Amino acid sequence: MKTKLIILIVSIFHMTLAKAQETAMSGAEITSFKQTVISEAQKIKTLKTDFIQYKHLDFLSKEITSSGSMLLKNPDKLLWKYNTPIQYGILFKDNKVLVNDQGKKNKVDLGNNKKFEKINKMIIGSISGDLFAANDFTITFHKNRNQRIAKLSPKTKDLSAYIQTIILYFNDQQSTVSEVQLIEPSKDYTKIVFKNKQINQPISDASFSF
Amino acid sequence: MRHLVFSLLLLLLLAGCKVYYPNGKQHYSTIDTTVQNPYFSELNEERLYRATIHFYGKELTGMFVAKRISQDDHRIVLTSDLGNTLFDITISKDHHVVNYVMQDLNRKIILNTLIRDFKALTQPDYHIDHQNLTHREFLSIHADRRYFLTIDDQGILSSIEIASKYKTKFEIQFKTDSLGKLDRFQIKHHGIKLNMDFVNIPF
Repeated sequence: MKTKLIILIVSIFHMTLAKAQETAMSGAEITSFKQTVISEAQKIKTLKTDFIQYKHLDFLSKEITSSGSMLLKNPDKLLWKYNTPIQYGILFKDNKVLVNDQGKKNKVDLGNNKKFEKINKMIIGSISGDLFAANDFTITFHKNRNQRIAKLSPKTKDLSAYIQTIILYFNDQQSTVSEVQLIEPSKDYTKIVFKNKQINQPISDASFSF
Repeated sequence: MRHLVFSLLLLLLLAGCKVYYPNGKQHYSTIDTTVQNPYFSELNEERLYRATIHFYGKELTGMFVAKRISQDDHRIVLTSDLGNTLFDITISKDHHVVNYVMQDLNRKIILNTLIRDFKALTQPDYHIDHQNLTHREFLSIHADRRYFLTIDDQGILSSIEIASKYKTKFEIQFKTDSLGKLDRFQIKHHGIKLNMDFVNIPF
């Protein structure tokens, strides 16, 4: 009983501390942060990064972890490549989506799958910071000791049926996203952490194929 | 008089329908026992499966988890490869709760099919009414459904076929690894073009 009480007190203290660390940005901070992120996003011609994806389901004792790399070449080429736990790639190119599932290739016609396109545009936008320019979200801005944080809630029911909130974390003084958290209506979430980010390094068109 | 003719016709029609048995009726004898379904029966065990679902020419892939969260309940979730949850259902023998379902899958017919399939998959034990020792087959009858369970020569449950009185509906085939853990399984429908393959992946 005593132990439980101590744990409870420690967790309440911890939660209060964590909350206290995150504060809302001032109006001036928001303006300058938005300007930097949008102007830096516009300068991105290519982006190459590794990522680890954590899928959190409340009833599981651990997260489902996948990892891989992502290549982006503006304006219209994007490749997500998962290496673990399975080899799986999804390629957006010339308004088409191609999927490579462990060597099995499928063509997906975007015309038939507008919602799929929308979700993926949202993911791309959240990496490059382009989401700030979109009018589809209500955005609040926060900061803690090491990060600037943008919380986006979809304005339309169409989107909010899939995602309740997108949280973008910008580490240190970086103006591209370091971590994305996509919170679903059920409160379960997917967290994608980017590492080894390389911006505007040459990427050949041939890289965008399976 | 008209009712009598109608009743007779109905009787003739019903008599014409043969009760379904995968290997013929002749080898069955009555019995009162229970067959355990060892898969997904361990409380709180977490195993991850890669799912490939074929539905009328369309293919959907993702990650599948079925966990026994209490004596009576299993939580069943499918997410896409990109992470978003497609459906999340809590199932027990006589009821279910849909915790979340993606808009596009939120159709009564789809949900009912999934619930029926996963109920059969996760039901921990089946009360057996008839057995067919020649084919190592056991028949369980519950709520107008007939479940034919097949045990292989190692004594391991290898398939469950689900039928109405007159025809087969779908079957679940299991394959275990050397430790007896469920390595892969397949749910194959007969009336509709729906096949689901699940392969165990590291978690």
